[in-house]
Amino acid sequence: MMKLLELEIQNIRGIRELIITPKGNNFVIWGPNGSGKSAVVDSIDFLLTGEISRLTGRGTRGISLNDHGPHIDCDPEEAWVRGVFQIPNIDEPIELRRCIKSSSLLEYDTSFSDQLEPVLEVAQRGQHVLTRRDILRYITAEASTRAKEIQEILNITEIERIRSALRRTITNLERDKDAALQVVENAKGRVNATIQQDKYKIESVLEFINNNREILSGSPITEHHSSRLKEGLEPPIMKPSLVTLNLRMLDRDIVNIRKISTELHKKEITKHEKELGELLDTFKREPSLLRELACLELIELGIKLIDETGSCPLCDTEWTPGELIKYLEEKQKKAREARKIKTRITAVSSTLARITDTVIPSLEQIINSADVLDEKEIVEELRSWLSKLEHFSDALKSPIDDYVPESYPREEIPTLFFPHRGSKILEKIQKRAHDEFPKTTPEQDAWDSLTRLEENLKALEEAHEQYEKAEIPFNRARSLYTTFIETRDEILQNTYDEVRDRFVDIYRKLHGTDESGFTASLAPLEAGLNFEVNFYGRGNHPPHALHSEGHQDSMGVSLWLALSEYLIGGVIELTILDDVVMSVDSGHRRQTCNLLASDFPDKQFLITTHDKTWVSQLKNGGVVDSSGILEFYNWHIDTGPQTNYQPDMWVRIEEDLQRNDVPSAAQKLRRGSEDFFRAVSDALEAKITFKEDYQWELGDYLPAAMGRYKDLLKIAKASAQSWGNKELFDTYQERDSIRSQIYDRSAAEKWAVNASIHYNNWTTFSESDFRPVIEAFQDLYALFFCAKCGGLLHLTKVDNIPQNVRCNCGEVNWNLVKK
Amino acid sequence: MSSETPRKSLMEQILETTFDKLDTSEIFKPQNVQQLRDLARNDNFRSYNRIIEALKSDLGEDDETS
Repeated sequence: MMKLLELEIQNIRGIRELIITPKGNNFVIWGPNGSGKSAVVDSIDFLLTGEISRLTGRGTRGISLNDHGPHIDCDPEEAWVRGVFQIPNIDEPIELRRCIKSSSLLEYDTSFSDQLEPVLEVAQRGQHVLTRRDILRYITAEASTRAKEIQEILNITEIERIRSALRRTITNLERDKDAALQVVENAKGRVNATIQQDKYKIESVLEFINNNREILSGSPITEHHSSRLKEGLEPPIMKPSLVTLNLRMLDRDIVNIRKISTELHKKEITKHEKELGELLDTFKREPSLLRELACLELIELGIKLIDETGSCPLCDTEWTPGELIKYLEEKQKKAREARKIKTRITAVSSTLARITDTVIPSLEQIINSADVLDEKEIVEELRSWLSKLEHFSDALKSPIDDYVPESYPREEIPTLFFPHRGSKILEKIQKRAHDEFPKTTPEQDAWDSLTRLEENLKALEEAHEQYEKAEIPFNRARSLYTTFIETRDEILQNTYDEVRDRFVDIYRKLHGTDESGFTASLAPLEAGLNFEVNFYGRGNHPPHALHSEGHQDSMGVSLWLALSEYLIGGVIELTILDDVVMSVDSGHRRQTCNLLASDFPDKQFLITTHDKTWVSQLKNGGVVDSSGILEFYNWHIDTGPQTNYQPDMWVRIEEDLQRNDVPSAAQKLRRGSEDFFRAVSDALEAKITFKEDYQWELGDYLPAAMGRYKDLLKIAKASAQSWGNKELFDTYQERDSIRSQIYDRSAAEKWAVNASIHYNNWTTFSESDFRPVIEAFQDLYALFFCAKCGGLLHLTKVDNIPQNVRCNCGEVNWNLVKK
Repeated sequence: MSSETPRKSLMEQILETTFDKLDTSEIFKPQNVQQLRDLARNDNFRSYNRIIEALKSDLGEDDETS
């Protein structure tokens, strides 16, 4: 597991030169804001990823690694970071170095590439760093933003992009498929025209084929494939001069066309065209509808991406929170309305196109007949008729772009299908044809009919083949999309379930009896996430709905720890908490220390903070020892921060005593003890006399803590006795006996500390007078710590009933519950 | 968490499971799925035109339908 052993920073973002040696243990850097703490985080970030995440992303326009990564006035080649890490599967520590000048180049012993690359890949995701900004971003934010931020930490924002690409694939292939289907429909229209049916029916096609085959003495067929139409048939014998015009087929085409001139058809055509015109007029009156429709996907994505600042996620323009969402939702509403209109336009234009497609083939055949009759003027008229109809048909293929209702005055639409002179033209051709051409034999009619149908079916078969070729990738695209969505939901749900359980576990530990029944629900919602938490058994609600801000912050830390453990656990154990103390409710900081020390024994926490009390709590909680605490102070632009490893209080007292400076030693003891026994009182829930001015001091904390310790030990003894556990009872008895001796010694001496501070008579004390006081207090302190893990003993409760006094590692664990 | 093998990213998990399911689907040919896998690895599905090519990869050159 990856842990940081040593870190050297040269000229990076506010730090001139720094070497720290955490040796794989937890490490705390503390100091005021602006002292350079976060530069350490930036440096680790840079070393592992080649980037500084704070210099990228939203609101960082104009900021670059090369210009703003190095400390001010430093060249990129002077700015570098070196780290010594323990890496999984490598016995020896490995040294990594990266310079801002060649930020993409990580220098290391390449013989370890195989082991290192997976670690760096995980580090690249940045899931080992938690900043205050992260917590704000994904817990205290609006629900939609939180989902997005959680997705970001899970690095799954890519999912939405891929889903969108797959969706677009379907749309494109659907367009191809629809175009191919249109060709099929056109081909069917020609078959319908030949056999004179309104709608394409295979039975009717077969009946037509077999009727004609019967005339030609052929046996019936059961398959209407073009290649089988004339199977086993011989063409009838005929004079070559008579084959140019088939009267029967001409009559049939004329009947086809005349059908359109009936009142019923005229009404139907007019009705559809009227509706089409009105629908298109909606877009004409409000052109923005089409623009909204084109942007629908972008609008929907935009709504999801707006965060709590309310700014535009695309161009960063500032909006009053809530206003941009309102604006986009209005656009979304319009776009959805436009989508409905568009769907109806497609349906109506398809109906009109189908009618047109049954007229055009017959009209083409009649033009051929007119040509044979050498009726030049009529041919021209018919061509003009056909041309207008074809133009109309083409416009119906993309009605929104191409259909201009003004080009087709409504009252003239029926004449488009059957012009005023239509009857006369058709009559004339029909009469001349019948006058000048002899009737063909039934065999000839049958043969010609089958020939025309053969051509129609060939075209239809080819259209079908193309359609199938378009349909296969379309079906695959649909299947790919649905499989992707289904898998996404399964995997996200499993992830969320796992993370949720750990999140609830961590949060309960932080809040103890306050939230012992706490539950949460994390469920995928499309590409997003629906995250709700239970509010004291009163149902699930969004985290910010009912819980206090402090609770929300605890949820932020808990959720991040759970997510981080899920995502990087086992690979990167270095976890960076950059100034997140403000996000820990003051009432729960001790629990947080206990949690960090007890629940994450394999992790290495690197913690930055500006809060000295939090540093003491981390130390007393056993999260970090004195050698792992570094203070940053007096930052200056030329020198960066000054640093100071804060030695253990006893070491500093010893230094005072060596100089025979008892007053300083006494003052340190008093100050330190005040901090320490305040922490003990908190951990053991000691009762302290209330003061209106809140000015508690050592005289308040010390007796309360000692008394509480004694009482709890007494309860533990009684508990052991009730369970008949003599061995345990004896252990507690022995501990109580040691306690009593230490209490006696420290009680005898503590006046000296008080006196030395309060009455200013410390000058009379010598080093040898004060040393027994120190020793007594050292022994007294030791009572409250675990000798194994170094953590402070603390009280655990269930439903507000004390259960145990324990340390983080469990070495100390007094049962307080009687049989 | 004691494993020392990095957990695959969620995106990788989702894509790999998706492709495994497609492998058992009758409407996909092995070459389609292989091409999709390559595309996910090399192009991260950035181009939908390439996805279309992968879905048509077994249908020959003359598959222009639009």
